[in-house]
Amino acid sequence: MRIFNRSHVPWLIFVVLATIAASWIYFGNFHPRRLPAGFGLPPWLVQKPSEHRSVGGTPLGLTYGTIAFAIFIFATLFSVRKRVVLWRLGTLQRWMRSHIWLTLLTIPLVVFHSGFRLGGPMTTLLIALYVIVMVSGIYGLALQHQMPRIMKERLPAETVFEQIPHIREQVVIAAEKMRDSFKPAPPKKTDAGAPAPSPLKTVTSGSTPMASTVGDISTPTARAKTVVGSTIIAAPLNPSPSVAAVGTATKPEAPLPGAVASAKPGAAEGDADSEAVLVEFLERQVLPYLKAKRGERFRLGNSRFSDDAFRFVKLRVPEVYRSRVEEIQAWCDERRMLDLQTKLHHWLHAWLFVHVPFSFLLLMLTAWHAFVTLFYY
Amino acid sequence: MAAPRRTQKQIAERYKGNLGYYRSLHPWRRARFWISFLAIIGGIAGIVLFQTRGREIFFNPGKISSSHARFADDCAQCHDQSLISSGTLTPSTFKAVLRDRFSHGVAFEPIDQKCDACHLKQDRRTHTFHEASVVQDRSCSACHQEHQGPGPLKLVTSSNCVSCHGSAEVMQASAQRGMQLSPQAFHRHPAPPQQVVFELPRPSRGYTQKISSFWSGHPEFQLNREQVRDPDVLRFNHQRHFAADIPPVNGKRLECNYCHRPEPDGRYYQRISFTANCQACHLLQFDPKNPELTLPHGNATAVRAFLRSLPMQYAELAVKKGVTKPNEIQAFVTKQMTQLRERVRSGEDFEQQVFFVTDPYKPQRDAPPGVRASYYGCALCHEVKPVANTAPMITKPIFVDRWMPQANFNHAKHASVKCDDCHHAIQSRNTSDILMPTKANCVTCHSPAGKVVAACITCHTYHGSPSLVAGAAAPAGKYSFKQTAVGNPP
Repeated sequence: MRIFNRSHVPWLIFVVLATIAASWIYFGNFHPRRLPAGFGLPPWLVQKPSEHRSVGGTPLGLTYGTIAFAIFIFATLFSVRKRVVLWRLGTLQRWMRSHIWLTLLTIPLVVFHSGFRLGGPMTTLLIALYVIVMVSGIYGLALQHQMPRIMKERLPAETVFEQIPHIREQVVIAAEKMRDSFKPAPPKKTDAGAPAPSPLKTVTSGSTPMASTVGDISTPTARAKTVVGSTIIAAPLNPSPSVAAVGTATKPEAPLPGAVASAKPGAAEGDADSEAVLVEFLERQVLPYLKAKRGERFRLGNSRFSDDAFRFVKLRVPEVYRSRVEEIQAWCDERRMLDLQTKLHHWLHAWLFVHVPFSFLLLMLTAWHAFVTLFYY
Repeated sequence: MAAPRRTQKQIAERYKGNLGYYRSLHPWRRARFWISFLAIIGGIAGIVLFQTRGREIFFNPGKISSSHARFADDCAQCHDQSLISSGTLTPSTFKAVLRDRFSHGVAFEPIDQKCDACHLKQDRRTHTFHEASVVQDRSCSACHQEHQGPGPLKLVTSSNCVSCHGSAEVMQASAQRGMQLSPQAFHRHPAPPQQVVFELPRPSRGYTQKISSFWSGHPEFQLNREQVRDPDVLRFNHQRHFAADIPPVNGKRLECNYCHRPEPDGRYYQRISFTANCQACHLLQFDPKNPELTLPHGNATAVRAFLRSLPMQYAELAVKKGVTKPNEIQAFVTKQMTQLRERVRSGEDFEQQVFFVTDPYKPQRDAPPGVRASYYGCALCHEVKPVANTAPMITKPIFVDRWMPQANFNHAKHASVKCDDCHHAIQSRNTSDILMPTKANCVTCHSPAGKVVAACITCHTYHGSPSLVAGAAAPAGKYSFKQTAVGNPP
């Protein structure tokens, strides 16, 4: 979403007109000769001959300063308004628009109040703070204007930012679950009274949890692939009831013939190798990446490397395991996307670490400046 | 990358188990809150700490000028902080102060009072020392801007003057007020007593014409505007002295600066005197046969006494010429007196010629250099009035030092300009010509076109004399005006 749209046009017009009016009154009072002929101020706009050469101390300069200070206060209230969502004092969008445009209007007001001079240490400090706040604000504004477009292009499945750690955790759990499903079960004590396992169970005993990950773990990409009709669902091996509940496009209610075929005893030898490959891949590459705090430092954080790696892994496993590989790849893609979202989110909000505290400082020091100037000196 | 779509159910599934995420702040938000909180606390602490222990120089909007540098660290020398320090800031005074500031700006009155107190003590300068007809005195700080840098105080800009002189209303009020005051009240810019100034009577409305700048709104100089003539009775013809037949003096052609010599500081010119400027050519040689013998200058009685003691003067001359024997001296005297009597009928007739005839004898152009008997008679230059039984009365000429006493001028700064470019003396034939430049002469350079500064303070001074205190006019008779000669006594 772009931050600028038609609703900003009235504000733009207002700020331009207000700037022109402020400039006209300023130059008409303090530098009347710089005004072109015929643009002189009407007498009622000319302040009484002032004793001050420093514009800030004149009634007009004080007016400019006061308006700017009032806008500072209003701009600070925006952060309060954002926290109190249910306030009926205009929509947040309206507040944002007025925050942007009114603070932009402070530029001419502050410049005219200062009379194009920095002054002493205090006023120089104030101007420095003001510049920091305004530059960070305008930088943030530019980011807010550009980043949504970039995010829309590069983040097809955006997540609620606060949910990112949760999603990452889910992905790790899924990967660990899959790894555990591939690992051969520890030898069980023979129980003479126990019923012999069915051939199907024997074949799929190590894979049962794997099938369950599809139903339990809902990563966006994997889910998306299911929804859009991809055939890389683990369901054919051992369909879980939950699969039917989640995957609406594919409703495997009974084992497919292919799945039965792949569960032949002859395939078990190959499965062990493939599973070993997958376990090794998961443990060495995938899980460290998924668990990492900063994924971009890992090779799987690079999409090109990731694609190549997964293509290679697919070649090392039989057709029946490729869906598992694709599922792992989907987790890595998801993680990469979450990392990118985090990164973009940081870009989008990091400027606030400068803008907000300095705004508070600016507000306090401006109040102090006003008090000292009006009542001390 | 194609955007995968999700159903609500999938989204809900996705966030399952973490639906209360909004109850706790994200670490970034928390960090931002704490940084902002620390900024607020730090700011408040800083302000409180600074108010109690900080140096006031932090509030200094600019360095103090060198004139006031000695108390640059002590703001209270100029600024009145009693509103806070005395604890009188109540809600009502707070409102009143705000109302006043937004009506009149930050108050300068307390600062002015401190300026007054200090400067009255130091050099008897007070605040109210502009013209008596000023409607409202301006603040000291309005013109003398402090905190503009460590050098000398910044020059007063014309806009300060124009703020009143450019306002028709203010000028009208000033004119009204001036008309109610005695002309004596306006003598606030006296020239030094040793100077002879030419002061015109103040116009009935004073100098209250609306002025926006020197080159556009400033009126023609009063001398030219009122076409004033020099009332002096000394006869002098500038044009004649530039004529081609005037012999060189000391080997040089006669120029302005032969007579008009600058004072040591170059600002003004020394007063013309007969001895310094005229005598080289105008030797008072009354006897062509004895050019060494000259009349005294400056005192008609002395001249009369000289003429009546001519035998003795000739005897002294004989001694100077090396005649020592008394009978030879007597013979010399007798011979000279006989020759003189051939020209004049009597002693009275001779006195008459010396004082009143403007051409007692023709100049001797063929005389050797340095001995040029070119005496024409006192009346050639002076106004000589006969007085019964005593020496005639010769009206003493008045040489004016300052023709425009309201204006400052520095000839040294105008050395690159020829004298005649401004004074036009070459065309002047009469003493009554006041050879002062017109405004147009000045505007040629002193204007935006001429690119030379044309501020009000270039010529004018706002303040009265340091010897005056507030409200006091110059004591009568202190000034050497030529005004009486014009016929308009103050």
